Amino acid sequence: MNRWAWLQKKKKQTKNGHQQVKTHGTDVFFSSSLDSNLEQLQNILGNNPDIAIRRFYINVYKVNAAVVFIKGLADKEQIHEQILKSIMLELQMRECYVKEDRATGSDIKEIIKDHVITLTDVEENNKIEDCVMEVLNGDTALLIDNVDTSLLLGTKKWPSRQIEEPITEATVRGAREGFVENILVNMSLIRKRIRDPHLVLDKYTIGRRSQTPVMVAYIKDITNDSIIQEVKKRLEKIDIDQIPESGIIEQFIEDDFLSPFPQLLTTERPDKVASGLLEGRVAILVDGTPFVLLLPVTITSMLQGPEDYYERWFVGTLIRFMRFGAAIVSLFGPSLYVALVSYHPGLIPTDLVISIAGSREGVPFPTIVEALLMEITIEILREAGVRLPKPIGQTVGIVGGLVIGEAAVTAGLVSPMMVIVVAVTAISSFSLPQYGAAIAIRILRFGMMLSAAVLGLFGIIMFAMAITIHLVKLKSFGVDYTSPFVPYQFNDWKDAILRLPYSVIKERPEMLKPKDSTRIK
Amino acid sequence: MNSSNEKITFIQATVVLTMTIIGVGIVTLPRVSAEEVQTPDIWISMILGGGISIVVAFFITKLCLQFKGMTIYQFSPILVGKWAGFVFNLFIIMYFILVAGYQARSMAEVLRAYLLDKTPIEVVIIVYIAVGVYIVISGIYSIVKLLQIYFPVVLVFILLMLALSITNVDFNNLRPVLGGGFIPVLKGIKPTTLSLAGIESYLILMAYMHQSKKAMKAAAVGIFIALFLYILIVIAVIGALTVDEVRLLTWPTLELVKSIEMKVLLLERFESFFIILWVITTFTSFIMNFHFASLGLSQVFKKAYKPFVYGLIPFVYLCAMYPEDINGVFKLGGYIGNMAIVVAGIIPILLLIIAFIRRKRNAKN
Repeated sequence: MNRWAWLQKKKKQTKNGHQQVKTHGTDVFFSSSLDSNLEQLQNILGNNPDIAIRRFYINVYKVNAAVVFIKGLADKEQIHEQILKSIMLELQMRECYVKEDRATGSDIKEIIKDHVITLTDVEENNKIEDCVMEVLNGDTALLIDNVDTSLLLGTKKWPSRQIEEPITEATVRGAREGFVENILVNMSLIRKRIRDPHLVLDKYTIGRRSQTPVMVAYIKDITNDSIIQEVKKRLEKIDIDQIPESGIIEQFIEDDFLSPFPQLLTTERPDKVASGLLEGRVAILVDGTPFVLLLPVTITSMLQGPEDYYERWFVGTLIRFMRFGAAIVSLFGPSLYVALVSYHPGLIPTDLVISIAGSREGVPFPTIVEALLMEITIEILREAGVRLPKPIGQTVGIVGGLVIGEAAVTAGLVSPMMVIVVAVTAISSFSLPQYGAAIAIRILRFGMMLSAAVLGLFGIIMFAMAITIHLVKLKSFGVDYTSPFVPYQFNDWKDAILRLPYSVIKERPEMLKPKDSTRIK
Repeated sequence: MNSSNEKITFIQATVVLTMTIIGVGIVTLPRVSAEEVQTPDIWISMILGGGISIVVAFFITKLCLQFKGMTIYQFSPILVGKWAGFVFNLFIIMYFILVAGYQARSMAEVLRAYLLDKTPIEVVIIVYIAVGVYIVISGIYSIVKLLQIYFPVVLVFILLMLALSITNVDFNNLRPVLGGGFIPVLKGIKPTTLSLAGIESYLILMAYMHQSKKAMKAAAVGIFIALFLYILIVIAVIGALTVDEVRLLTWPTLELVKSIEMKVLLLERFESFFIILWVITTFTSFIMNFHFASLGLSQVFKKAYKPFVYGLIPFVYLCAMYPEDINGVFKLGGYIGNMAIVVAGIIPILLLIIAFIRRKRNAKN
């Protein structure tokens, strides 16, 4: 997309500037002196209270050594049991490995690495900068005197919340597990559901300062390569100091930042990610947030929930129909009311016109003002309800919805008919399973209302056309946003607004161009 | 614009043609043809007109197959020389601009008559053109996808309209068949054929098609769908209102819709649905013609496409605003019909003959 290219061009210029700075600092390697190595590390890491440097003495070889780690990120238990205890106590007992007193530094290192340390992850490293990065990630660095490399020992144990039920995507039926803020746990939640060696997790580190681990997950022999390449290309271009949440990544890699529609799916549910991966999508996991990104997204994903697949097929189909209707009501409701009442009362049945006119008697505002007043009140209420603690949030809902609505009608500020329209619209917009999609529709609803106020039904038609035009132009990672409806992909219609029985949907979505399209044999 | 490896598929080519053909004719065709034919045999004229359109489609596809991947703007200078080709192209571009303006104006006239009687027509047309530019600017592939969205909508609305008006249709109004002999039927061929104008879009579209060899088939299917819907509309309108009345009505189809009596949900009258259909059908033809005109200019002058889209806005607007009143609009419709004969009929056949002669000569040498 043009906008994307433009953004990238702009970014490239800044990136070049940044790279120049980086090349100034050449790589620094470890020396063979323990003291100078520790001093170097201390210089980089600073005198912070969470940095632990534990010096000790290897009796057998008569050398000094030290472990460096971050308190809280590294597992103290493991450092104690598997590293210090092994080296300081057990090495002494195992006489057979003492070759000679004249063992060289590298001999000692090899022996410790191969015979002493009982951890699973052990890596050699000779660059100080890399060593620091890993230590900051929760690994432990083992430095030995006379050895010019460090041993990086995998002792990561990041603080993590318990796995809980996802709050934003509760379902009646379905797994109660939700992602947590720890990427290692999230990875395992996905792996647990897809025990397939073809599931690939590519690691990226994004954030110059935060060094946030980001994983790109896909299934090698299903997902189309062009999507994977596109994701990687866009991820590699991100150059930012910190990634606090996956939303930042979303905003960097989406196709069109002017679109109200979400171009990546966010979810807290591992089951949803797993089935997305198996459909041929790509997932992006970001450390520090339970929200995982799924892409590419098409318009159908906005109306689908995981339960559609867990319930029997006609339940799923009917619920989807209902959601579709709700989306339409939520988008067009107030604007149709405004257009019909203020421009084309002739199109409404006579009885209804009379009762609407009766209910509007004494209301001092034009319909559009009335509608905007109520819609904005509802939006404020909703925002207030989200921020407040749960019990108070409910009170606000009752006070706002019932009391204000009732009082506004009795005071003659708005007509009861308007309250009904706005309430139905609000409820409809709650029924959409995707928060991002609901927001898009809420935004567009206001545009629709304004155009209805200016040009009546014609305004609504033109605005709706503009939305369809925008959707047609929109792409998500090379996949048309309007697929599978347009271009016509009849095979995918079985699982678009309909959700036909599994005996009929035997193939993965064609629109994602999977390498392996058979789902059910 | 052509950087993507997208191509127009068979289904898309069919949809595009149907949606380009179905336009203003949906409300004017019954009157225009009733004026000429004056007997209820318009549907026979329609079938004959459809036959002629398919023959024209055959010539056009034959011509374009000789120049794969090229639009008429690109191959006409090669075929007839730089200056003659330039004149041809300019004429075709003028035609497309006029059709676009005509579609916009007719849409606005109906809207003024039935929906927004106090809103200035200029505002309606400006909004319409603005939304049109929004899609035209992004090129043929986006336009085609948009037409694919609207195609089922149009189909459903037309069939719904016909189904609801079935109780009003009195088939006695369609009899006698050939009561006035063949002469009236032949008289009706010109307006009915012209109502199916739109096949000239293949002069350009075929350059972007995936399998241009199937273009003839796509054209035939596209013409057939449009013809089928038009015949149904004509039969319903004549059947419900009689030929004599239809001749005197400005927008006969809308009168048919008005006569539908039903109360579904909140709407008493079906006109609002019809207005949606009406705006969509004219819009699809409008954007296609607008796109062809701007594409033509960009290919004739070998410059970027987008500036021409913006540059054409005032011209399309002027064309739309040029007729003073509704009679002026219909007169413009008449001129456009005559131009269509040249663009879709004479020019392609002429070029085809020239291409044929040239090939013969080349073979001799």
